Parts: sequence; C-alpha cells; structure tokens
Amino acid sequence: MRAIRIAFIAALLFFSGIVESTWLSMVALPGLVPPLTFVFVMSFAVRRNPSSAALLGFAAGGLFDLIPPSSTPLGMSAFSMALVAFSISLIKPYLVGSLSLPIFAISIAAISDMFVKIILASFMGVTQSYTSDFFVNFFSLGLYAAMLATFLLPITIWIDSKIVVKQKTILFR
Amino acid sequence: MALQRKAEPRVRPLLSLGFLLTFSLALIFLDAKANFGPINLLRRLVSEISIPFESAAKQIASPIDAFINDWTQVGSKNEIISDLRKQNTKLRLNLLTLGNSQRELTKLHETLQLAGLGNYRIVPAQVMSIGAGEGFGSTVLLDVGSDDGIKVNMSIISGNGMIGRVQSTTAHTSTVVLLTDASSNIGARIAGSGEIGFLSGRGLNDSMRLTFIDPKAKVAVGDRLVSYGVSGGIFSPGLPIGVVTKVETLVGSNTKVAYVQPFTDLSQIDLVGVIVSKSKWDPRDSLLPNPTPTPTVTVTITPNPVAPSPSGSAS
Repeated sequence: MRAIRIAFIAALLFFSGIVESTWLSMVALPGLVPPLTFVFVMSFAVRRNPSSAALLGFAAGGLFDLIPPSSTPLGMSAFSMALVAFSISLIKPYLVGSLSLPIFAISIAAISDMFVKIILASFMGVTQSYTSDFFVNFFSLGLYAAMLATFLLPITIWIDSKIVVKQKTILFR
Repeated sequence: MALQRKAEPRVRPLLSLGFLLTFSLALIFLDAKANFGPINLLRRLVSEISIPFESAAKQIASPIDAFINDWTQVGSKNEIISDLRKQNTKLRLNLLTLGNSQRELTKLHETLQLAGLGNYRIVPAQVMSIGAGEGFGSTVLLDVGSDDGIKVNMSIISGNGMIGRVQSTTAHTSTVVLLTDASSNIGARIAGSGEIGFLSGRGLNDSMRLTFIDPKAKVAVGDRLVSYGVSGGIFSPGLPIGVVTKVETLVGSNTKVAYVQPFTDLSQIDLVGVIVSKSKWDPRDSLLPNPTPTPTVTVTITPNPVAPSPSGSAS
C-alpha cells in the first residue's frame, strides 16, 4: 500500500508539473508561472513528519528539475524544496486548527524557496535570471502560492484522508 | 541512554535532511559542473516520458491560449482598429477634398479661359445654395455681393458660357436668375445668321424658348446662340448660351420659335464667374466652343482574293 501511495503522489506531482509547464505558463502574468507543483508538495508537507516532508520535497524538486523545459541543474529545486518542506513540516503543530495560517505558511514557503534558489544560483555564478524584478517576483510568487493553496490544501487533505482510510481498511482486513 | 533516546527523534529528521541536501548539492555539482553522463540520460528519459503528455496538454490548451492572448490584447487591438479607422476617414476626406479641388480647379480654369477670350474681368464666385427647385423657378445664391463689385443684371458665366444674370445683391451675396428660370428673358442672337430674339426660360428640366423678332428668320436645328447686348449696357454680348434643338412656327400667330438646350448643365453648377467689366468690343461669335466633329465612316469594299468554290467547300 505504501508503494501505491508513493506512486499515486508521484503521478500527481508529475501531472501537476505538466500542467504547470503547459497550462499555467499561459497565465504567467508578471512573468512568473503559478507554482502548482510546489504548492502541492507543501500542502502534503504540512500534514507529514519532517523526514517524509523533506523526502517528498526532494523528489518533487528533482522531478521539477528534470521535466522540460526546466533549465535549472538537477538538484537545485530538490535542495530548496527539501529544505522548505522540512521547515514547514516543523511548524506543523502551530498550523493545526487554522484555515488561514497554512495558506500563509505556504505563501512564505514559496518566497523562501525562491530565496534559497537565488542563494544557490549565486554560488554557481548565475544570478541574472533570478534577481531581475526581485521584489515583484517575490510578491507575485507569494500571491500565486496563497491563491493556489486556498484550493489545493483541501484537495490534498481529502486525498491524504482517502489514502489513509484505504490503508486502514486493508489493515483491518 | 535516556538522553540519547530523547534526542534520537529530533536528530533523525535532521540527519535525513542533511543527507538529502548533501545529495542535492552533489547532483547540482555533477549536473552543472561535471556534466555527468547518467544525469543527462535521466533527463532525456524524463523528457521522452513527459513530452507526449506536454504535447497533449498544449493541444488541449491551445484554444484557451488563443482566447487568453486575444483577451489580453483586445485593448491594444481595439486601439489599432480605432487608429486605422480614423486614418481611413481622414484619407477618404482628403481624397474627396482633392477630387473636389481638382474639379473646381478645372471649372475655374475653363471660366477664366472664357473670360480671357472675351476680355472680360470676372469675380469668381461659389454657389452657396440653389433655390426654387420646384415649379419653373431656378435661382442660385452666390457668395459674392455688392462689396465685391457685383451689380444687378451682371452676367454670370461658367466654363461653357452664360448661365444667368444677377437679380439682386446684398453686401456679401447675390441672387442669380438662371437662364432656365421662368422669369428669365434675355436677348439672344443666332451665331452666323445674326437673327435675334428673346430667350425665355421654362424651368430647369425644359429647354429654353427663343422667340424671333422676324417671323421669317432663318434658323435650323444645331444653330448656336450667343447673348445679345446693347453697347454701353451692363449685359455682356457674345456669350455662348446653347444650341437649337427644335424649331417650329406657332400656328395662327405667324411667330417662329426655337427651343434651345444650354451649353452648361445648370443643375450641376458650383463655381462660376460674375462679369464685372465687359469688353469694349463685341466678341461676336468668337467665344463659341468649336463644334464637335461628327465622325464620318467610309466603307471601302475590298474584293475577296480567294473566290469561294461553287460547291461551297474549300479544297
């Protein structure tokens, strides 16, 4: 069952990556694409322990680095998403019972993710594409992430609950 | 031992995170700096898998993409359309004005040519309005008046000849009675024969009637008319008027009349000249336009060099 759950989440992230690079790239208003995959990962991460969240972030980030037309080196998004997913998972106890706080946390996480990427890129000597329109990009990214999280958080909670229920059912049998 | 057990749950996630981050950094180094072969292979594999899905997704999204593009550019497109419409209207107006200007220039040139031939001094005038269209009346209002030296009974000409006379003036306008007006009655002379009569109008749509003083006057269809002025009078002599289209003798009154078609289409006048100073000499018939030559067709029969065979078939 664990394998099925992993496969399901992997497929979900893969298709969200496809949707992000094809459909959502059409509505890149200030030059930024709404971070669908990232928000999916963070929505799962707020309900998991830090190790699982980090692993999920690493896998999703790796996938994101590989899906064309990505131009980032493999490991860059994996690094930042693993770190951010781990961090958001750490503050999970403070988010329980609130509707707005997880959304706000995901929005901050998106900005942090970009910030981490900028630092990594600066180490690699690539800063131009990340630092142009610095504040506008941060604001847009945070806004996009918050808007997406409003819809995706309930969906991920529902998916998670379904997987867990099925697992229990199988276990009880 | 107890301390180690308590610390273990906190350390394990950090260890796993540390491992993942280190692994990520290693991947970055391998991919970006060392151009590691297996990573390229992995990237190609993911591309092979994802590209069909991306193509399908793009095909589904293309109408929506087109709609979004149209929607986001609708403002600029509307602006372009609006600008082009304005330019189009402006160009049309320019074209119309240019056409009108050229037509007016031609008419003015013809009028000036006629005035020059007769040695007249004219004041160019524009027809402001055409009045009394119904019934037999036909008058026009010109944009020149007594301030421009216009006086009553002065002759009005266009490029083809006389069209009327001034009936009344104000400071800046003049009312002109056209030759076709029912109240118009002027002296006219047949070019060549010199037969004189009174030319009266019968409305814009009917030809004018020339009543000869001499009942035995010699006149024929096609004869041309010029104005008849008295020396020293205000009315200009020798101005072309029109051509005779029909001649008849009124039964019982022993009066000969001719019907005359004016040279100028009086329903389409806009730029005219008012003769303010006539020539000291009578131009007689010199101002008449040259008659249009009638084409003569000469048929020459050429004998056929090949005589048809009696059987009717060529061998």
